[in-house]
Amino acid sequence: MGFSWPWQYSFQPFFTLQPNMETRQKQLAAWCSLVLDYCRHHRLYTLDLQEAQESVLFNNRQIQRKLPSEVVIIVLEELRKKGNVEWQDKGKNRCLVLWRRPEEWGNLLYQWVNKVGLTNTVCTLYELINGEDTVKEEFHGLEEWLMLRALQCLQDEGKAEVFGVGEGQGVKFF
Amino acid sequence: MDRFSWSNGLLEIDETLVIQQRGVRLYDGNDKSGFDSGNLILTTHRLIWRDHKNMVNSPKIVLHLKKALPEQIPGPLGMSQCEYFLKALYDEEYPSRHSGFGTTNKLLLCAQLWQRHLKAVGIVGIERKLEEKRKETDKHISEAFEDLSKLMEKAKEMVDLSKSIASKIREKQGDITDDEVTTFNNSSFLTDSDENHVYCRVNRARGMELLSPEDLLNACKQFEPLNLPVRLRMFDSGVFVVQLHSHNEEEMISSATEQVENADSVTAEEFSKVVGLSVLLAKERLLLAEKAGRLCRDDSVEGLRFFPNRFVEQN
Repeated sequence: MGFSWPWQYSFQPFFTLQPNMETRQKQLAAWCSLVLDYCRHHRLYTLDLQEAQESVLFNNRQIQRKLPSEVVIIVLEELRKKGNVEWQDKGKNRCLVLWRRPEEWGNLLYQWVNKVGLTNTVCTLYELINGEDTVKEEFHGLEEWLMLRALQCLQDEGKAEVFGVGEGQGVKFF
Repeated sequence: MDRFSWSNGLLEIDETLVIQQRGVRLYDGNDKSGFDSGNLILTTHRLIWRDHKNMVNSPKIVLHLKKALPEQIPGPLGMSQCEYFLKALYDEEYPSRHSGFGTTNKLLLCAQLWQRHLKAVGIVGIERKLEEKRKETDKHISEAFEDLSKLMEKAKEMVDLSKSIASKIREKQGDITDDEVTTFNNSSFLTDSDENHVYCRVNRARGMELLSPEDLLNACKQFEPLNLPVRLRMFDSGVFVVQLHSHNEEEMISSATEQVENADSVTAEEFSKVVGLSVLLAKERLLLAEKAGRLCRDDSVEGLRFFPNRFVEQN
């Protein structure tokens, strides 16, 4: 299924940072949800700023408008404040896009665990990510670092315990 | 036929005869012309037709022609019925020393000569023209310098004159007074004008007794304390504007927004044409409407355009 762009995407002023503060807030909010929707749709977890600049996300060739790089950073900073973006370097060239925050992934995971009755059982990380049982779940195929962080959140809440190192990592749900 | 020019019919020094044919009548396109029964001479440079009498129905040659050059010397026919070709009819009865125009070989040879000749004319012609142009420029320049020295003499007189006028005015009146403000107010008829316009209009109305920009600005600042129906206002960009007190800002913003909505999007130039204001003022209005959150902007390589603020409207 193709990605459905919001109406703003074909509205030229969307690509110019608006000087009016109220307008700018609305504009940035629209950009934030567009970035998250786009990454969710394409299941992207990282953005390379230089690449993103040229990608359709920030560059609408149909109306020949491109979001300037400084505005891209403003948008991503806005997302960082909400906990959806984490910079991977000081120069702000790469970032993680957490279109679902780790604790949200954790909740999703825990709901599933309860549904299928896996509490008090030990699972390997591999099973959770690639196992046949999780094929229909949204967290199937999730990147390992993100899965670990989701489990970490559950551990902090006392709902799980992560153990082991490297490929043999496992988790016990309570 | 308009390609022909009058000539004495003599050959030039480096010009040689290629073929000639007697008893030739010229046709302008398909129409007979008055130039019949002449001698048609093809030279290395041109085609010459010389007057000579007697003519019957006979074979023809057709010449396909390019457009006449603008600098051509006037000829027998100013306008030609037929733009593209010329017919010449000749009588075979006349014996020809060079065996006539029927000989293709000679014609081809001549065509080559013509082409070479034309090229030479081209370059020589251009050089000659450049030379003429240079001479003319020289002449203009020396004339201009003469004018300039005369002008400087005149200017000296003008400066003296203006000095004397200025001192007279100073004697006649002191600083600007409230009275002056009122006079100025009466003489102007403003709805919404930027300070430059006001300055020009006021001074035009006053004729000789001109105001300085500072005086005018100070006068405008007295509008409010004097409770006059006009006000001076400063836009964010620093532009001063004199406008009627009744000129409602909200109204201005609404009408600007409406007009932008009708046009889909506008630049300051386009908007100035629609509302009949200067570009400067038109832009101020758009910025005002933007500041009020009614418009938004698209700043691209194509320039600054204003759009209805759909960001706010659609939420």
